[in-house]
Amino acid sequence: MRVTKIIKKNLLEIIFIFPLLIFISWINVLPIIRGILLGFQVLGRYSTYNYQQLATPTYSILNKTTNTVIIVGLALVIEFALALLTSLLLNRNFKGRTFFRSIVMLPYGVATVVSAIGFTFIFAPSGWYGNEILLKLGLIHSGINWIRGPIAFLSVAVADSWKTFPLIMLILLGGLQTIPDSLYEAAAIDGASKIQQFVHVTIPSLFPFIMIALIIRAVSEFNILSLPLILVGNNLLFLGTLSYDIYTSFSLGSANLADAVATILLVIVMIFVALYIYASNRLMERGSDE
Amino acid sequence: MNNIGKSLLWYIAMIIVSIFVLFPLYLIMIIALAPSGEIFNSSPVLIPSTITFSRFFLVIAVYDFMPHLILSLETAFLVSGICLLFGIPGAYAISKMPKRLGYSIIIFLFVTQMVPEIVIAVPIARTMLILGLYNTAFGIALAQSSIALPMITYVLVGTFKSVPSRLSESAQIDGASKLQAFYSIDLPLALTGIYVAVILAWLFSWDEFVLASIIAPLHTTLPVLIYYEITRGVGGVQAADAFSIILMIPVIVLVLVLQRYLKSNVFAGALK
Repeated sequence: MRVTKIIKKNLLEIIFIFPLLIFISWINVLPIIRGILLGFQVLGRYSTYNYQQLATPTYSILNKTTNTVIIVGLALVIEFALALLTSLLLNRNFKGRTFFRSIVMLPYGVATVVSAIGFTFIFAPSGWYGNEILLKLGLIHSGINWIRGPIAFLSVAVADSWKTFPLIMLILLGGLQTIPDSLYEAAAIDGASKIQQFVHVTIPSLFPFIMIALIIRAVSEFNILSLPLILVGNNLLFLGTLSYDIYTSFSLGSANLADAVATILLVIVMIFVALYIYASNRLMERGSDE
Repeated sequence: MNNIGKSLLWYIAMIIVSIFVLFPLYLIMIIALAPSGEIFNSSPVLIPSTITFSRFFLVIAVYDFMPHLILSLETAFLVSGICLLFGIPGAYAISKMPKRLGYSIIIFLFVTQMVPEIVIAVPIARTMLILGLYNTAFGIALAQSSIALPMITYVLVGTFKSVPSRLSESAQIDGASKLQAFYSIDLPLALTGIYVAVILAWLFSWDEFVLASIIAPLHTTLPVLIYYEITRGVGGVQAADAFSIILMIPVIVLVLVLQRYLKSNVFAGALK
């Protein structure tokens, strides 16, 4: 009785939400399940052969997994720091704020492949702009090879942050504007310094916005593909690029092998999501206790 | 610290951020326009001595540009349409739910998006093959919508939440049905947020690479074509760069013109 009453009262909402959930299940959840199954198949029969292949030195999957985790961490730190700094700056009421906000938003309109090409000119191995400028400023004495070795992580992370920080900035700026001035005034009356106000007022109020921004970005970050493909090519492979590489090689069984790589990526993302949800619940409970 | 010092610091900080943002864009511009001798040497120039537009004509001539441009446009508008079709009702329902349930659904949507595009690209390509949508704009658009929808829904939830609920409540007291209240009151008042959703979906599709390249490898969108040009193109890096500018300019104009709709509060509303 009670259930039918609730359904009747909220009929419109129920009718409205279902197409969305069904569509997402059809175009997203179903293919995921099929992708996982295909990764365990060789010529139509189930086996773990694909995964054994990936463990061999030809693919050295462990190395690609580490690369992926490093790039996600590094890129998130850089883009989040940039976004927080810019949003704090743009939250001040100075003349020209709208103008600077327009400039900062520009990279958001630039396609990833385009930004990758732009950064190819900066992070080319020798002779190009990155090295040229650092040499002229006297910061380095000989050219750096930006696309090989550990420094390639930094090149990819900086190029990626350039394109992605405006979105985080917008979310954080939206969050900053929801904090009432009275909170700061009260803190100031209690004798809190600017830094204390930042730690005890700004960060807690901003918390839900930080969480949503990080989840949105981390998700895409694990999938990083077209940018490293163009910027560093095969010098530094991530799970996404490895999967793409294998799939587009068009050799026999390559699609299944690509699915297996993608499944490993999926498992890592799921572990991350689980940790994330656990941490955000813990933090939210702690927040509501205060 | 006095006020002049404060604003000086602010302008210096803003200018540093702006240089970081603008420098790569400037490089993309001059590399397409400069003579290759001034770029490909040990100390590349920052200000070219002469400029040439020949690479733009080369790209348009060699790459059968128009059909691909039309495909990209078609796909982007289809993605916007599909996202609104499913996103508007879904977001409206979520905005009326208890906060915790609504928040859980939003997180669920983002979790489905956590799946690497490459994981779903291959199975979706097979589905599209069966449905006869392989190598079509509609096929790409359906796949891209799956990734764009969570973000669009999130923005729309915020928009609907910002419409005061007493408006549609008083309409219902006056005898309007829930559905009537939705399309005659909530929907018109949510238009600004809907514009933002259209821009976001459009931008996402214009940029998307993985799904487009796997679902439509032959007749494909501009980002994928640029990638082909870089890896096996005839005109070299500078031609690929000229191509990028063609892809970039309409979007930058779009972002600047529609700037006033991209207010930061549209990204915050869903969490209020």
